Amino acid sequence: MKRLFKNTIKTIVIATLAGTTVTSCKKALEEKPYSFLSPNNFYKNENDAKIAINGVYNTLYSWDLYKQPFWNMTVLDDDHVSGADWFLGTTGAGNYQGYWGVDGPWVGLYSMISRANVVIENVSKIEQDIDAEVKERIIGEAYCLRGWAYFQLVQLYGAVPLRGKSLSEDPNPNVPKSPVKEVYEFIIEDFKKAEQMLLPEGNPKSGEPGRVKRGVAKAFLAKTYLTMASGSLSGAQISVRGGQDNNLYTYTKSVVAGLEGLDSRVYFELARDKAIELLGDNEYSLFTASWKDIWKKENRNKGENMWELQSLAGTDLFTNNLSAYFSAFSTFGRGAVWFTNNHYRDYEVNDLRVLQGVKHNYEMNNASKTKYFYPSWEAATYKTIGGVTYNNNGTTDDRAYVIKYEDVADPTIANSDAFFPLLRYSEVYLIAAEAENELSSTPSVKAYEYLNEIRGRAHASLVSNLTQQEFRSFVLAERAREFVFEGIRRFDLIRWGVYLQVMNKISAGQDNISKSRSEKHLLFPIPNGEMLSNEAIKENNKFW
Amino acid sequence: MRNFKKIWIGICVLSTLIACKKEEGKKEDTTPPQITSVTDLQHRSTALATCDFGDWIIIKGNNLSTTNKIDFNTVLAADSLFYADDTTITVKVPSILPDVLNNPITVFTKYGSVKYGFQIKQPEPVVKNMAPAVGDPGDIVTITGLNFINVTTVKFGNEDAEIISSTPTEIKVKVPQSAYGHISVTTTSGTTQSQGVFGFKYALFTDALATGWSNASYSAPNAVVTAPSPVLRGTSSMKINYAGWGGFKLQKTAPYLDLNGFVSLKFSLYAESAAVGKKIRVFLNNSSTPGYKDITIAESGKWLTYEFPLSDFGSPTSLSFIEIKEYSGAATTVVYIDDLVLM
Amino acid sequence: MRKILQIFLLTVGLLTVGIQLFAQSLSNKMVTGVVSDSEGLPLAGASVSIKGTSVGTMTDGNGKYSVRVSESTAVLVFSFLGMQAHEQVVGGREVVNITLKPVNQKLDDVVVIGYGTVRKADLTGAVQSIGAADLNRENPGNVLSAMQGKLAGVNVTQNDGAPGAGLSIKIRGSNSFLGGTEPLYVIDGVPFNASNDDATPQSLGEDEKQTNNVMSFLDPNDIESIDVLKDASATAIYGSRGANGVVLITTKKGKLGKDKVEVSVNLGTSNVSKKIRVLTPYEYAQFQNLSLMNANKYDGTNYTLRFPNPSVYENVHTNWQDEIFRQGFTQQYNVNISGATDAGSHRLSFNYMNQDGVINNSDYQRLGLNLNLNRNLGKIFKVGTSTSISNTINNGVKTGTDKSDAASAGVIRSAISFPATVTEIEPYNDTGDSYFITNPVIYTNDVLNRVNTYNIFSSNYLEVAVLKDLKFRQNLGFNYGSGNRDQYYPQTVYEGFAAKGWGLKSDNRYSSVVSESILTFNKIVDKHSFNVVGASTYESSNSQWKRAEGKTFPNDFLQNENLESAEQVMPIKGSRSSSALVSFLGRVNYAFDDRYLFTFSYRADGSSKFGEENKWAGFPSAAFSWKLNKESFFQDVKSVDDLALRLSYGQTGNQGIGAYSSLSKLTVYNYPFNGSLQSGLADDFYSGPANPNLKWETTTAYNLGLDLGMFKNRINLHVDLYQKKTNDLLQYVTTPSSTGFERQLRNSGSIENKGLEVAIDGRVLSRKDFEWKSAFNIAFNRNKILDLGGPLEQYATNISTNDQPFIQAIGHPIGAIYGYVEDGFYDNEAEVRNSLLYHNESDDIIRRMIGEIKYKDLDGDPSAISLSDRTFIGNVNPKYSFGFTNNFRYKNFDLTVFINGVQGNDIINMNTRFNANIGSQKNVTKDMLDGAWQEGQDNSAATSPKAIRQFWRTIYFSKRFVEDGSFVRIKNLAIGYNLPKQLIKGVASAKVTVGVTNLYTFTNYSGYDPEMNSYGSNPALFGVDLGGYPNSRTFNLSLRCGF
Ligand SMILES: [Ca+2]
Ligand SMILES: [Ca+2]
Repeated sequence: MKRLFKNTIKTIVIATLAGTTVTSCKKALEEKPYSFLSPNNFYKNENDAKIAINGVYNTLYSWDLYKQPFWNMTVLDDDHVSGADWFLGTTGAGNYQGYWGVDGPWVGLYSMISRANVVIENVSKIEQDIDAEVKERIIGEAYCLRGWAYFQLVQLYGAVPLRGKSLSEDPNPNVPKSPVKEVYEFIIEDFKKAEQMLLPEGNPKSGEPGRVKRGVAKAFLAKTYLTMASGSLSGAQISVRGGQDNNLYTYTKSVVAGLEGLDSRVYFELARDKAIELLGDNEYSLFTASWKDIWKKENRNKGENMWELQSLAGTDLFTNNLSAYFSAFSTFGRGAVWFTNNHYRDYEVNDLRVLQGVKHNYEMNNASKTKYFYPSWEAATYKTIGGVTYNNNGTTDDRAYVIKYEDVADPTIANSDAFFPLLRYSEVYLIAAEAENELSSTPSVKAYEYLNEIRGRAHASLVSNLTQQEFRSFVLAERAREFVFEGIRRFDLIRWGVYLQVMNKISAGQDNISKSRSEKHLLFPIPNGEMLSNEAIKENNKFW
Repeated sequence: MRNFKKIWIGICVLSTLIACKKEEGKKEDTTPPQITSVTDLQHRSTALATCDFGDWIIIKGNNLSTTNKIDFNTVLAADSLFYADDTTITVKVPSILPDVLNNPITVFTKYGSVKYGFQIKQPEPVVKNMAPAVGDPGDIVTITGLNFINVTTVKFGNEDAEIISSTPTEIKVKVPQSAYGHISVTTTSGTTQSQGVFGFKYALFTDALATGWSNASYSAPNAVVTAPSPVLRGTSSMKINYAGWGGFKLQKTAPYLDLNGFVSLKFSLYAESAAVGKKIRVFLNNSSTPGYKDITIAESGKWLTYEFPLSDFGSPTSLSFIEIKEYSGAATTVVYIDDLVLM
Repeated sequence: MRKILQIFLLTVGLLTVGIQLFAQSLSNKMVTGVVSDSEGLPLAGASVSIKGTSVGTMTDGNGKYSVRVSESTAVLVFSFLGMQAHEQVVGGREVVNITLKPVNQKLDDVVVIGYGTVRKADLTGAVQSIGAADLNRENPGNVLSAMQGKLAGVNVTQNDGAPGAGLSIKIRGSNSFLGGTEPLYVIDGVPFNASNDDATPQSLGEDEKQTNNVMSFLDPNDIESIDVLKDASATAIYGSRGANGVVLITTKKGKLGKDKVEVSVNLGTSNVSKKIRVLTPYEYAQFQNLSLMNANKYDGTNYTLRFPNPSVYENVHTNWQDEIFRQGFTQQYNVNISGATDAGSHRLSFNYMNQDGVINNSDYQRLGLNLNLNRNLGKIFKVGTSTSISNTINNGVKTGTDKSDAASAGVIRSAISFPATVTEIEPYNDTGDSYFITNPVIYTNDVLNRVNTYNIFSSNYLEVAVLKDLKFRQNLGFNYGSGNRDQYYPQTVYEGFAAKGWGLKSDNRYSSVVSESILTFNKIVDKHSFNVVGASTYESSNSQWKRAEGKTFPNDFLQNENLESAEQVMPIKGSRSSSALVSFLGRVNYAFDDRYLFTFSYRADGSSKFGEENKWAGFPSAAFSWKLNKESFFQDVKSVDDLALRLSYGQTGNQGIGAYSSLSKLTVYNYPFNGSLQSGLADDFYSGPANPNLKWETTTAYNLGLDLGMFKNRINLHVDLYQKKTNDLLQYVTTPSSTGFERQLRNSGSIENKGLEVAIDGRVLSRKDFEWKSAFNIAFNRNKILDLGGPLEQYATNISTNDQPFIQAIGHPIGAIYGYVEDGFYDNEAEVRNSLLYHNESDDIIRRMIGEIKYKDLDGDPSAISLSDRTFIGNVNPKYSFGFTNNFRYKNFDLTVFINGVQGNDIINMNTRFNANIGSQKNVTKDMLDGAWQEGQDNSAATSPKAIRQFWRTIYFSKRFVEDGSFVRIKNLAIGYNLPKQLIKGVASAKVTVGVTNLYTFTNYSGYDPEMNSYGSNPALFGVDLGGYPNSRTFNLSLRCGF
């Protein structure tokens, strides 16, 4: 019996060893990744640094940001936009939480911030195989993109958590909201660092077109100052054309929450000085030969197009639906977003921005090939062109389609390569004009100069003899004319503290799009996921 | 075997078992209602001493959930305008009450009623309409509006008019000598001026087209008709028979009418019931001039007066055409226009 | 004692010698006789053979046989299926009549328990079995549906009604948020390492949630038995994969006797079992007008009526459901040849199945082969294989998507929401604001979605009888599967419209190799009996997938067969992964006097999937069984044949996460600059920050069982009471998205499952011509989250674009539903103004809120309806589930009725969510319109808000979308007729069966079928109907013949 047991045990041991083909368990249990890289063997040289910073830009092209949510939520929600109710029924009607992409801006911008943090930390540590200037520049790009992301966040969400380090450096997931003013200080610091580290446009080491350059950082610095200045200005009046009747209504602006008590004059001055400094750098220029040149494919990343969302035709990841949604020619038949007749009437008849910038005659892109003209009240000019008759039923056919996003590689497909402007040089002029106006009781010669630079380029009449309040109102309207559908108007109305008043004056907009808004609409809701998991944030934005 | 049967039945019962919901009957409190205070909708903890006709209020109290009737000094609140739970009633005070101030509230529930001595005061008068809006001295003008209890004076411009009769919502007055200007109504609760102006500066049509004006309509057959067709004032009005998108158009032969000194265009319109909800667009001169006004016909069978500032039409300096165009694409809409004037 | 035995043996030996001497004097005589059963009925087809020779015969229709015997010492062996074999020495007799006794199944049944077998009576753990007869009674197409309702505590749920669709199986509740509920399948001793997801190659849209059934390669006709290990003492031997239970599948082997051919044919016809009553064209036209009028009334809009004259539709009877549903035919064939001799056994089986779905253009085909060979090489060695090869082709239509409100929501939602007034069947229209969903007929007919899979599963062994009591067995298993998907959305449907055609070819492949070396030692010493198993195993799995996809084709003619002509090339994607598992295990079964039985086992698992710090885990178990009926004090209780108490404890694990989950990953995040693409990399957003501490989930379970057999085992009762606690749950913990990540995979939290299972079966009546057998099982399980590792509550992932209703909260089960509570409707303006939500709003907004849903304020802030106004509004876990089978036999006829059901569970009906916004252009159900709030009517019974065309309405997730999913289903009714033996020459047995599956379902669920589970085996998202494929009622005729 004993012997039997001995034998048995012996046999078990032998059989086990023989039967198992494993020689080393440890080795067998090591994981061998086939399809991905790990951070341990990365961030070693200049090429790695570039690849890392490119990953930060990538967030722009995510389903959280410019694949749709970011432009949907910031472009469709203003007084001038109209469109198909199936598309504008959510964010366009103030129903943010009805929109699938409602969390997008928050998630996408913070994703950008986290990747920028990783770049700032890891690229700083690369000492070999990297050009010192390029290294600086890449870190500068990261600061600029991080600053840009926080600048969007503070305008959309108000007080937000400030995360200046990556999760591996600071693993605390629970960061409380910082007050609005602190967030602005952080943004200013980032843009200042970026301004120092980035290289000017034209410098061979400044990087390929499409990257942020020194001028971009300067312009955003000026824009940040301007946003703080206009937001904190108290008691001022501003007139906005609108309501049902498109009359000029004068409102007393509110102070943007969180900016109370700021000396707005100081910031207007900073904004003006930075804008003027950039204009003096002479690195960029307006397209003056033809206004339409701004929107031509061949002029992408050129001239006044300081920074744009970079698309790539023929790909799925780097294309968007801007062309299909905003252009007259669209895979939907005709576009889903147009601007209102009232806004159209804000332009002079000869203003190139409507004369050339709005599609007056177009054909339905479907079997019907129905021909349309716009606007119905300019039938004399546009109804019959070269013997061909165009239609307009005077109501639902009055659609002002812009040409901004129509010059794409292939307009017949939904995913096209439209570029989206993130910064145009003309805004620098208007920043200078707006800030200059606030610094003297009557508009200065300089103020008119900056403003008329933009008016003149569009063949609009030059302005003069305005009071400070009129000038202020005029610049706000001019920005709407210049930047319609470029993601400017909603931010402008909010920073000037008139968003609610302007929107509610309209109430029910063209094409039955609701413009009624309440206080909650001033800030977007913080995503549920953040509310549930960030223990340091107890309350969502007001009324959400 | 008997055991088996038991198990068997158990199984059957189990397998067909479906949870039954028990409806718990709520015990109703049969105590009569009680009122403790009245507040507005915004500040629900601040008791009001008084409110106005037509205000939304909250009546606070107890045992109110079975409220079926709310009486404001004999005027009942409409069913669709009150909502009660146990401790509150949200209700709209009727816009016309018998007394200028003392209008007690009585709440009736299934189990009794309670009267609450509460002051609801008549606010300033409101002038909604005057018909006709144009008239000769001695004509009778009906002013409609609200809060006309205890009316003391009615003025046309600065001139007193003779009051023929008045109800809380309607005053009939005689047009005084100078028949141009805002109408103001004064009651013991205050004074109000009409938005629009009575009378006109230039008559394009009252009973006939003014000199130099002619009909240039397209696809909108029209005619000058006389009573018994609807006529606002005088003997006749213009009848317009719209086809879809049809344009009723009046043309002035040169020289065009100089608009210097004119501020607005005014006319009265009477629609048949089929036209309700339809849209009409008014242009001056031609349709490519910036500015127009849209009218959506709200009511039929009565004269409605419209007045638009000329700035709505791009402030033209002279007038050659007036076009009143059907804008819903609806065929056979019939409207009448009278007293088409410039002010 | 020993002496007596010796004497006995000696006597027998002497006798034998004597008989041998005597017999040698005789030679070559015919022996005849009759073989009958215990009731005296002759047995036809019983085999009679001479021991030690290949000589043998069969009895004829009257049970008679004749065989030539050369010597009188010859031993005749009589055998018959289901009877105990009987050996008889011929001696001097010429007539040998034999009565065979039925096998005493209850005692001698062998149960497979993983790395060995035990007698059923010797079980210490909770194990349940189904045999071949019970598996095939309803002609199920696949193994899992064959198990449905038959085992207490084993919940099999079909994901939807599509042919070839996946099924989910849940044994004793959910243990995991992430690791799935899928048990470990072991086929002929070899673990099968693949899931439904592995059988489902990637599809174009992430919203397409349909899965294929990974077990579909096995024909239930080829399965001998399924044994399900439920408690931890039984499953602990499978260590880190045992937590969800283990399903042991044994395929059929050839049986002793001459070669047998069996043919079975099953023909069926199916129809959808229910249609949803939507509005008729006339009703729809009126409804649309009402919606527009209400918009003008409440919203100040200016719409003109869409149907100025609705009565023109009075005689139009379009019902889009009718246009896509059809009668489907099913054919199923199995032919097999089997036999066995002392030298070994063989069985070769071919099967073919072709099943039409009840929706046009959907069908399923399977062609398979199963080979089972066993060979004895001398007395010591034994080798064998069990190998299945199959090919399946699944043509699917798009059903079950997680788009709550989108044009790509699938054919079912299209069929129930497409405007009824449309009479033309036209491709998806380009006026984006028209219908916004593809016509269901186009949607069903034009889309290609075919999955073609190949599967090889092979289990092989070499067995060595090292010593008399010691056996060594080497298993070598191999599993290979590959799938291809061909998918194409043409320009005629929404998905392909803007893209101008969207095509895909994707494939996946998985393979695994299993090597197991097992030593088994059996010894009986006096009253002590030992069974000891020791083994080491190694498994390695590889999987990879890729997809190629393009958009914008010249035309739809070549579908996806011409990807290179796509103008828009989507990124080619692919991935490969591998994992390994190394284990050592041992088990001791010890019995004393056949009264006290003990089992101890231990398994050590090393898994590559876990973090660097946690590669190895140990899983112990212990069990004790006490057979009370063997005790002397029980001898007087005559009616009890069997009474055992079982007590067990064990630990198991769950490692159901993907490979590399613990590692930090850099993923490609490119970006183009000025028209040229540049590489970019960053930390992978979806996998989140790395976690080197990641490990398995551990389940510790206790089981208390009772087995009772009474009245000669005429009634058998099994009761099990269990408690399981799972710790270190694997889950994606939500991280604040402000970190740049939304989640991280961590071990945190614990869950408890407690339950009671009762199974009872019995022969109610047993007469010569009439027999009634009945079996009933019922299971109660209560699931409770004990800890989440930090938060008090969290939410499972979204089930649609905007809905995240599954809460995971301490003290509540997985599958608890969280949402808003409704409080009727705003019946008038005063009620709106009374609400603090609206009292400050403009008159316009107040007016439009009349007739809208009123939500209850639960957080004490009535000025806002916010997330904190939600509460628990449902639970998808049933209170209990049961199965009830009755078999009646009258002479040659038999009748089977099988009823199953679940009670007390909720279902989330996302179809109603999709159409909840009453007043859009979508069609709605009749009930919904009838229940719509309408001014001037008595709205006390209203169930929907007013019908209005608008774009501002927000309908929160409330009980409105949660329905009672309880059902009782007459799952199967079948009448069979056994043709009298020898009626047809050469046919040994033949049976014709007529049956109906899903005969009737008693339920209050308003959707197609309460058995919808669109997220498959994902335990966190159980019980959601995303517009899945409807269930069908099938009539079938089947014929089974043996030759
Ligand atoms: Ca007249
Ligand atoms: Ca609340």
